[in-house]
Amino acid sequence: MRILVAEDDPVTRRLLQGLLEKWGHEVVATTNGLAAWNILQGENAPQLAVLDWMMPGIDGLEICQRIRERAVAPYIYILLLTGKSEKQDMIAAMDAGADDYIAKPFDSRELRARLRAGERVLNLESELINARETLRKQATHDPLTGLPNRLLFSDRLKNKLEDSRRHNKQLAVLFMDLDHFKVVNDTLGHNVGDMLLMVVGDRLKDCLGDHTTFARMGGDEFTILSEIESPEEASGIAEKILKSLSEAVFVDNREFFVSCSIGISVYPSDGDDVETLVKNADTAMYRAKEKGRNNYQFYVQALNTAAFQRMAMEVSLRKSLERQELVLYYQPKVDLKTGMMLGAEALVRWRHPELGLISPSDFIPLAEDTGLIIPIGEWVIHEACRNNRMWQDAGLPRVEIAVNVAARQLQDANLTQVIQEALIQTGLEPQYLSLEITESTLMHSPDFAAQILSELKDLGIHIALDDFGTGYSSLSYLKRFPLDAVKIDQSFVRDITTDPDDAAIAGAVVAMAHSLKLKAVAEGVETLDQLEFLRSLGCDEMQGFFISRPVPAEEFVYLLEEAKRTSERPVIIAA
Amino acid sequence: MSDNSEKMDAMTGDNIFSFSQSLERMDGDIELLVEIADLLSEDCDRLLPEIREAVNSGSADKLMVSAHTLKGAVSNIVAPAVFQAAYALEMMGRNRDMADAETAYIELEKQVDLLKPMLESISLEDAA
Repeated sequence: MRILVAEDDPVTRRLLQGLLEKWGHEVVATTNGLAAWNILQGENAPQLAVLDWMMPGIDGLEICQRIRERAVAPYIYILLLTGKSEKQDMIAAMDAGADDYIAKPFDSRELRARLRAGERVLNLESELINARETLRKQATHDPLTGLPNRLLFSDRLKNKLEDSRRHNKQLAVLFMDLDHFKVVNDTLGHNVGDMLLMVVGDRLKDCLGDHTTFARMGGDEFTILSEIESPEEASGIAEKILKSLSEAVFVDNREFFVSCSIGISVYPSDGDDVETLVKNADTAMYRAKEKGRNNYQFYVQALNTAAFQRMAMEVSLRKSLERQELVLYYQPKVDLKTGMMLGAEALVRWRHPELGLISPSDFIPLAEDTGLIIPIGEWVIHEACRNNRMWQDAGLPRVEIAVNVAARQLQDANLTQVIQEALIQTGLEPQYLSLEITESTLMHSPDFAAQILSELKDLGIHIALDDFGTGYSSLSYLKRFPLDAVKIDQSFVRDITTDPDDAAIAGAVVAMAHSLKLKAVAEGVETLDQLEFLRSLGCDEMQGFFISRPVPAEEFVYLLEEAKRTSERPVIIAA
Repeated sequence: MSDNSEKMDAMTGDNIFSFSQSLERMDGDIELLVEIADLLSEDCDRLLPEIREAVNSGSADKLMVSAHTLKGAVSNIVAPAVFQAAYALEMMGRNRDMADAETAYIELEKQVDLLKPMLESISLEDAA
């Protein structure tokens, strides 16, 4: 260890130096307090100091105080050497910041023992610093690539913005997203995906050097921050990145060709805060994707048009699953004759962090257009099965939960497998799951749909035809598909008590359903009159605000508990 | 402790200089003891005239500082008689009571005269 000895008496100084060197330490010796203070403030300062209390210039006590007043500096362990041995002297030494003291004349064994104690303290201190550094690194860096994470990037961007504001400088934020990375993850697994991300991280390091800040924001997204003289300089950086990624990547003995799409926002023209600059670079990145990927685009104000807002919405929707922003609401279905709760329809809602609760009509069309309906649909099926099984395990009534299946899901060859897996993973018996499919969905490719529905029916799952009456309403379809129920669309229910046509259609649907041995279920029942009318038609089940609006899972539990309590005493509808 | 050390202690008398205890303070390092003894000898040569002058001029402050310095230097080895004599003079200076300073100085000089040859006679072979 490097130790400072500050002692004005040459004999004592030499003795200390001789002993410390004999014990393997590197000694820096000085004769006065001022020199000692300078040494302790300099580079490569000793970690431990043996200071004489009484010295010319600054005395040992004052050095202790000065050392401890420093806000940021490595810890120096101070052993105060003193001829004073009164209790109050020792207290004064400790109060001034000395870690330990040794009275003159000292014994070599005592000195050695006190040095060892000091070394132990310094080792602990060093462990603490290392642990703190590790924690800091974990909190600010991506564990996979070792690159700064979103938090650190935002912090650095914030600092750079302050600096740029003061010095009238420009900054570029580049938002980079790998093209088709999901395909790699989905087909070759996350391990290969992770290795690929590491290679991309290394390529960025090689290509951008140490002076550019870049980060992994999550998934396959990276951001780069650079001071620029002009936007052309940002183009240069983007081109460098595109070029560096264009060379083949070898991962797991496979050759990959990776490309990326980059969006660029510039301070001050495209925003003057972290959030806006990153968001606008992200939006510009999507423009690059739209332009065929493997290119870069600057943010332009026009990106805030409806088309690009839709794209931004798509970005958010894409992330909604991983951010766990989707939730299921449940709308109860009851038996029209007994009033007993039979089950519920699961309806997905999106709890958007900025826009609040978004209803399916506002995002399901987008999900269908973009294919996001597949992962969202999978999540809905799994979550509905999971909730239902959880309620059953809690001793609540066993009911059937219905989930809606979109056209694109029905065309997905994996649908049967997805449902099977959900049932197996959650342990839900198939008869407690039903699928609701609209007429128009079946019309997309009726043959394939019939085949898939037969497979699902064979599993023991119930199938209901949704929104009946609004589409083609082909009666032959009712026979062709393995259905269990027909749902009368709410547009016929709304005026059922006043419009004879609606009443006639509803009555015909119920009669037809029964003749085909299907159940008739009415949607959108809001009044007692509607309910009574449907019951008079012989309709089997109903759902609607008259019974309950869709409620979150935690509220649905109360309805199930209520159903359990009143299972032998139907109270929902008076007979 | 070696036979030589014991012989040396017996020769010097513990009151003037304890070779074995002083060597212990050096963590058994005879080379260091030789070096420290040389330095101490030089310190005595430097400080005795300063103390003499302080006594002669009746300067209590100077006496306190120079006697304190000699006491501090000699405390690195075990030489009780010189230590005591220097301490007595330091206290006289501190208390500004110089009445017995002359006598005390003569005692110090006598003890230093006894100690110095012993310090100078320490050689590397003594630890053998």
